[in-house]
Amino acid sequence: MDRTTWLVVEREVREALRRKGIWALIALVFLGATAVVVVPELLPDRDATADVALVGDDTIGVTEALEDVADPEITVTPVDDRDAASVAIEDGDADLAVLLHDDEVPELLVEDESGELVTIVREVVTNRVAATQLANEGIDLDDVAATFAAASPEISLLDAQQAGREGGAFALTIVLYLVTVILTAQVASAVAVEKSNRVSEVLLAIVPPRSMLAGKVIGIAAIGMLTLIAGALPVLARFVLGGDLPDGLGRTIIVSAAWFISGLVLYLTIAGALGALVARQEEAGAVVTPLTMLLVAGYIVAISSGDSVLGLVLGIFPLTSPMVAPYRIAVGAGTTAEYVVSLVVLIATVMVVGRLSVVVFRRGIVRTGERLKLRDVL
Amino acid sequence: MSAGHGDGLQVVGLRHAFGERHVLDGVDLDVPAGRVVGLLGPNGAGKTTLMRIVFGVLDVQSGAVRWQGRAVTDADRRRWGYMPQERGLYQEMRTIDHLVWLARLYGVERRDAERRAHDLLERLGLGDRADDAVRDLSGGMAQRVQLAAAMVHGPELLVLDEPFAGLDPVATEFLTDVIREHVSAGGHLVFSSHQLDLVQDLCERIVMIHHGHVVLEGAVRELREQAPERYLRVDVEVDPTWFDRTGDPHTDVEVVASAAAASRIRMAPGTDAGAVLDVVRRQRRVTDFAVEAPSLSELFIAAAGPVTDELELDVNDHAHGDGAGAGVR
Repeated sequence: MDRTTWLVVEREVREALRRKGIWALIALVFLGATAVVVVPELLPDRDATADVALVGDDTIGVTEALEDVADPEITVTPVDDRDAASVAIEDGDADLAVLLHDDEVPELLVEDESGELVTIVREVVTNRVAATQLANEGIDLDDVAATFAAASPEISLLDAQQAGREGGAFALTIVLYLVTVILTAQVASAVAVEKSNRVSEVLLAIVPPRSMLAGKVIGIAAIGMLTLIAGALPVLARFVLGGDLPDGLGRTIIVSAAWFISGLVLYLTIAGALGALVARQEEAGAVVTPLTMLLVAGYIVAISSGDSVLGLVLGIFPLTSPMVAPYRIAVGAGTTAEYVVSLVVLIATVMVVGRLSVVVFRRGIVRTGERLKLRDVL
Repeated sequence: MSAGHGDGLQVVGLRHAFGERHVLDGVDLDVPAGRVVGLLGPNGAGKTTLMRIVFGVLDVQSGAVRWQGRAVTDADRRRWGYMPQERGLYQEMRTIDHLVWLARLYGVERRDAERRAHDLLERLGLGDRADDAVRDLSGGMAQRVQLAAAMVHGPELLVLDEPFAGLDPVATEFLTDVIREHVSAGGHLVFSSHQLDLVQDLCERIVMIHHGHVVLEGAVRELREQAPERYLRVDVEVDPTWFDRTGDPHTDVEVVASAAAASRIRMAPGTDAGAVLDVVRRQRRVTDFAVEAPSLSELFIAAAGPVTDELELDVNDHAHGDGAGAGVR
């Protein structure tokens, strides 16, 4: 970066950091992200523990069997009779009750028979009753247990991490979309302000238009990234410390950065050029609408059909690939060759569009008084 | 060219068009050191376009911009200062930060830039407002900061586009002093104005343009003295019909301004000024009068023909005494 561009970037960043609003935003994003990460850890896990009331003499080992269940962790509390069990359930002291009757099948007292806990407890009680009856018939319980264990089908997950990666890809796409949309509007608006208050006239006499545009793009992107990092730090800390980052998502994020940064540069550069076409700051929003529409299209395709043929095409098309390609990488929908082509096309587009944008910016920013069309300056 | 030194700024044969609209059509301009040069003409004459081309804001389509006898470079332009017609500063920036930043863009090192910016603010009477945001300054103060922005790096050439537009008399005098100091120190300076008579005593050389053409150029004193017609100023209201009845061939006149406090009468070459004065004296008692050379706006009209109201021709100012009292010394 040359000295002039650096000075433009430095001013953008310094003036942005001088505003209290940006610090409030950074703090808000950081605290928000921290809350999202920390609050679930602090809340009691509703499914992790359960309380079961037990009525009757436990001669068949139900208590022990229930307390052996790992998830949820079950606490068994003996109560006197059926009425006491009902009261315990109504008062919330117990989630359900097991009533053991002499010479009869046990009974479960529940408020709702569809719960997962009911299924678990019923299975445990059934096993204990069946085991006791089999033992009474002289059958070795260990043999029975081994037979059942051998008969149980083995469960194999097709891709243990698939769900986690899709969730990560979804979150990644949302973040890329939001950051790009917000910063695109900011760049267009900032350029429009400089044009409308005529600062650009002073600067163009000293600063090459290339440096003006690049400095604006880099400066605003830097502030955007700072805000993004404030939000990402707590999440990353959670995954790194917790160690449960979905397998491959970390690598995906790092690889996706190439698309993200290139895409951001592409969009912000175009936004800067378009911002130079307006006559008043209020028009800046309208002039970047086509860009925003492209972003929305990329975002929708990415999250709805990122792994389809349309996803393949839009994963290579440079104006949508910054959204779609990272998603396809995250869910493993494409090939390495496809990703290489996508990135090469994107970077080549950045270079061509960058030069074109400087021309549009330079010609547009000195023509004040009316809103210009692209053909007016090309 | 009249300066002919080959030093300073030279604009040669500049032509420029926006689409089909030709804004400049072969304009020459010389800005030698130590002279206040005025680029004058009505609004829309092409002055701002010329200055933007000089500073590289617009590309040269045809012609040349030269500095010290050779084609101008970006490095040369960093040693110039430009105050555009449309004033532009970052409103939210602190004044001192803004000036230091601009100086650094011009290539001045930070410490030096800070020293220069503080010195300049003191000189412009804004030393105690250095830490204020630009938006918190009054219009006049912001105008001075804009001037400081063009001067903070100690430029060799100052180009000021309509610097007197919207200034009150105090600010006008202040700016005049700054301009004179710059050229007295050997600097180059050119400014544009559509208020011809306001600046006629400040300019040493002028280039008048109209519809992109140079219509008059040269040293102001010579141009005025060499003009054939003269003007009679009297301190009474003059009725043009007074002259209809004289039948005197030596009173070929036109009343160009007439008001209760003063009137101004243009006299064709060879007209007997005494006879004209006598006509007025026969109607009214005259206590103050003068025979004067044409003002710059009168020279402009003589050269370009009558123009629109975009040109400020405040003839009452002349009637009150050559325009100097209300203009720039």
